[in-house]
Amino acid sequence: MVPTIAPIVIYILSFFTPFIITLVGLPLHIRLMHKRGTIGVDVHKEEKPKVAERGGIVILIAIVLSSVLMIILVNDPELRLSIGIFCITVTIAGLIGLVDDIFNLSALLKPFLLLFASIPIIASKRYESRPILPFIGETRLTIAYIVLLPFIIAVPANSVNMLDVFNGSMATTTIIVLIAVFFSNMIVFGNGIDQLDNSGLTYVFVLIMVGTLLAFWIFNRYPAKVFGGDTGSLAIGGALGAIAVMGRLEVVVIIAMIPFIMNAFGIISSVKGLLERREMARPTKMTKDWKIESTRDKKAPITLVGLVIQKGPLHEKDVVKTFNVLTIVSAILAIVIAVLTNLSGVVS
Amino acid sequence: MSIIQSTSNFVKNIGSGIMNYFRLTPRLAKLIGLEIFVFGTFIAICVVISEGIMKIPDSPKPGLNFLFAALKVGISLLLIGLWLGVWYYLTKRLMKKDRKKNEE
Repeated sequence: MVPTIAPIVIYILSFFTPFIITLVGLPLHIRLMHKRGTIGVDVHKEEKPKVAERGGIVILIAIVLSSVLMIILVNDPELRLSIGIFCITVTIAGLIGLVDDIFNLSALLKPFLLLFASIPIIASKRYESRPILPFIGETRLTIAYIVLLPFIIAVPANSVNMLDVFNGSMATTTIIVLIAVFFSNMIVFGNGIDQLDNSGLTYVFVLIMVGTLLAFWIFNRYPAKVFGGDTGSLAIGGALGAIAVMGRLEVVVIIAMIPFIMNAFGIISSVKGLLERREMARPTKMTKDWKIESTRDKKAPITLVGLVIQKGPLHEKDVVKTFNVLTIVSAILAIVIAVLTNLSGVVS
Repeated sequence: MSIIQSTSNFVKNIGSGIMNYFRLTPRLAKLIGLEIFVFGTFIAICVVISEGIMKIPDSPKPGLNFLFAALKVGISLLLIGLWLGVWYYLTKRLMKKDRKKNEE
């Protein structure tokens, strides 16, 4: 029997465990991928460097191992189950990504399979079918919620995947979203970090993700030494969806992810449906001074990048900065939503 | 290098980094505008649901009451669906308009 551990220790470990695992694991992974020849070419650089792929495997391992450690350290069986379910959901999303990385799943099959990532949450009833909306409070959506739940996991997973196109873009933007979720949880439920209950568990999930992503960013930032691949982006997006459902912060996550969703809307509307990146015409090309500019190809999808570079070419680093600015704005709006929810005094 | 020098370099780097972010922000005006619009319309819908739809009184008859509750949920979901639809439409419009301008 593990003695009761102070919540603050759990929170500190939730951050540092995945951080250290990822920090140690990625250099080994990079070496292994180079040895095996599992490398991709970074087309946005003049020297066309070869970059190790499937860094998402390390992300997934870090999340799983950290979750297992938390299950051991937490004494409450209900909380243990919730951590386990979170871990399984993220693993399913990540494994779908891994299968896609290896076998190239079709653009329709991937989101369809991601709908199944929500099964553990539904089966274990780790959700409240009463999402909290500002001014309205807890709504009763018993049947409608179960129908919508698979999409709450699949949509963030796919939209994170769609925005993972530049060095460091996925890591920085999702960290911003997670920070917004962290503070929103504090505001909506009025909980500090001194106790570990259901809403306290959201901090654990967020800290696990931020710890993992921060270490991943060190290797994925410009110039990247590793790509996360679909394994990484789907696992992270799936985790965001799981946090939204299990933490009852669906609206906060949707608002914080506005740039991701806008990007997905743009792509879907321009190519008239779902297509894989490799099936679409490239929306960007490089200038002579290695900045990113639009290809002006009518068949190319309309993306967030396209809008950002419309006023002139930008360096890859600056494109990522524009993504960050947009996510910071949406994160602030998400926190405003949390404040409005709290001010309405609607959470029981 | 002294501690003062390295601290000043660090502050300078952070300062130039923040300035770089501000330099990029004007080109995002339309997108930030859309973000705020999406947020604003969502809040407006929540107010409409809270002050309008939720105020519809419950019926004393159990059968009718269920129908009323289903209707309230249905209308609310329809409004949220409408919000998503408008968001989709505006994103599409903004992106297509910008592409046209770009092609010209």
